[in-house]
Amino acid sequence: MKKVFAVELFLILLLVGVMTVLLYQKNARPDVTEADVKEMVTSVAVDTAITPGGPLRLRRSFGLNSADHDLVVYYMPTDSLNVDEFLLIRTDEGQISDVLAAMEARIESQLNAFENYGDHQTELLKKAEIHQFGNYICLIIAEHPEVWLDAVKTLLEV
Amino acid sequence: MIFSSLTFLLIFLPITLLLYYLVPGIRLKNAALLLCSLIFYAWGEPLYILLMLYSIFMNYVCGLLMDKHKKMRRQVLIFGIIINLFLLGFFKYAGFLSESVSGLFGSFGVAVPARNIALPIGISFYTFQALSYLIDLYRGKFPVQKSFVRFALYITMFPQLIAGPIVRYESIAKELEKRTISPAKFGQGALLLIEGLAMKVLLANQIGTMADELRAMSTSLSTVSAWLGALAYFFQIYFDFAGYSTMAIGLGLMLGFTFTKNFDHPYMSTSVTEFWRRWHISLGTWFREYVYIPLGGNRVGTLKHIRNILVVWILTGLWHGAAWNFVLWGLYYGILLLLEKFVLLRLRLPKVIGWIYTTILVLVGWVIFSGETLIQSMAILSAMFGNGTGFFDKTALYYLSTGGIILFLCAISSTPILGKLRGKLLRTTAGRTLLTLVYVGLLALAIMFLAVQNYNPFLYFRF
Repeated sequence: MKKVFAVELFLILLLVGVMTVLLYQKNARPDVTEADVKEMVTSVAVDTAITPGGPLRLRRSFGLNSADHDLVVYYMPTDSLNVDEFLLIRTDEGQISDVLAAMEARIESQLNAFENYGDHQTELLKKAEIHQFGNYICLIIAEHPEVWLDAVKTLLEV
Repeated sequence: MIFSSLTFLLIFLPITLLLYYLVPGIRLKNAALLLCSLIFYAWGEPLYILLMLYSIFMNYVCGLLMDKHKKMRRQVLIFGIIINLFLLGFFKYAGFLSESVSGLFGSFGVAVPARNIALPIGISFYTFQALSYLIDLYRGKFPVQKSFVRFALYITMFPQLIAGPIVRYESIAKELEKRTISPAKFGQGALLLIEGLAMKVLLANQIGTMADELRAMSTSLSTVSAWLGALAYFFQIYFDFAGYSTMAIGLGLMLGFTFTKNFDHPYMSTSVTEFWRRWHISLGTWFREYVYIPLGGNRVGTLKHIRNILVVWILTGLWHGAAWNFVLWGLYYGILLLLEKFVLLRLRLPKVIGWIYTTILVLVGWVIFSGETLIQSMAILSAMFGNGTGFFDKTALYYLSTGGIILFLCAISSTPILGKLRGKLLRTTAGRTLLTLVYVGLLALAIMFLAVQNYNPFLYFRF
């Protein structure tokens, strides 16, 4: 009987250990809201030609369904000659690779569209950045992506 | 990683099959399959693999304890059940509970803080498998599994790991120790894999675009557009989940395992009761075996029988997700099944009438199920039943003209017609050649679609 209790105690302690590792890993801030992201965008989007994009536009441009993800904030180019874009998604771990692939496909498709006639657009697309912080993934296509990246890191506390 | 991805189809699967078939003997094959399954899981869940490994180890040890200390079997079983339910409850329902408590009592200043915990993929499936192992072991249905590799393989086997079917240990216990691998079985499995892939990529993904777009317009739908959106989701969820299950069964066969079927043309059902005998069969069986029957099933008084059905269906709803719409959806089916049991099935309605009312009720059920919020579901239901922006509009015309063909293909494919046709073709050499060409064509088409389309969600991933 004592042996059984000892093994069960060991299993409980092991569980505590596993839960500690899982719950206290260095994570991005989990409670970022849409309003927080919009406030951040307003503060850095001074020289960026973007405007809020809805779920349909997100689907058309990225093939992503906003309902499948926990948080989606998308800013699309103001017109068809601009390529500035910002997308921040918080999603399940299982969907991260799909979101990353969709973002890479978007850059590729925009490059195909602008290469050979839109030098400036092509230049912006070539320095486009995709970053993953825990369950957050962001795409930045802007004149100064490093400024955006700093703002995102501050927001997510990473 | 999901089956309907190029990474899985073109890289992971060929390497796994090659390794599996090259290594000699069942022990090494099991070890190779376990290794590949862990890689498959870690691809999407590098950290949560720790949780799955803990679950495997804990359930394995509980099994050994139950075997060695017969007098303590019951106590060990309870311990195992509590830990399994704690893991599932914590990772799946903690956020929902805290939000619900805060929402209900927020005005009284009560707020329960909660971390935003990611749902570990497949936790509902592997926890249910582990529970079935412990309970059936306690019931003495099979001897304990002493090999850690075999037990870990039962839990982690990649074909059924993240989306079922929920395989009960007793159904594959023998195959974990001895199984036949033959070209015929491999071929049969490959056909099922292609069939499932076609269901997922060529039907579910295509009709899913229409379902999502119409759902996004929930507040501005006409009656016809609302019905079209509901119908599109009705087919999307079926081909999405049945496609995935078919791929899982096919992959199992290719590796020498026989999983029982999870879907049996559910949309041909002539009652809601029959629908649930044909939809997600492994989940229905699990709840019947481990919840409904232990509660007394139908061998109790009427009131307790009603309680048992409602408990099972609220739990079935909650199993699908930690949100109120899933609870409502479960309750909706509980009430429908009670109505059928005590009233409708006694009326002996003509089959056509049964099919029509079942289809409409299932369709309404999916609207409750699919809404991002209860308000959205209610807006769609309201539009479906005449309280929309009119009866017919340009949106309905657009989706009828662009989605008519895919809706028709989905409707045909949800019946047993294609299966019967395949059976006939298999009887002749010419038929078999034609069938091979069709399957090669379907595979090529599915891969083309996967290569060019970004839209490839998997609805049952989040459960």
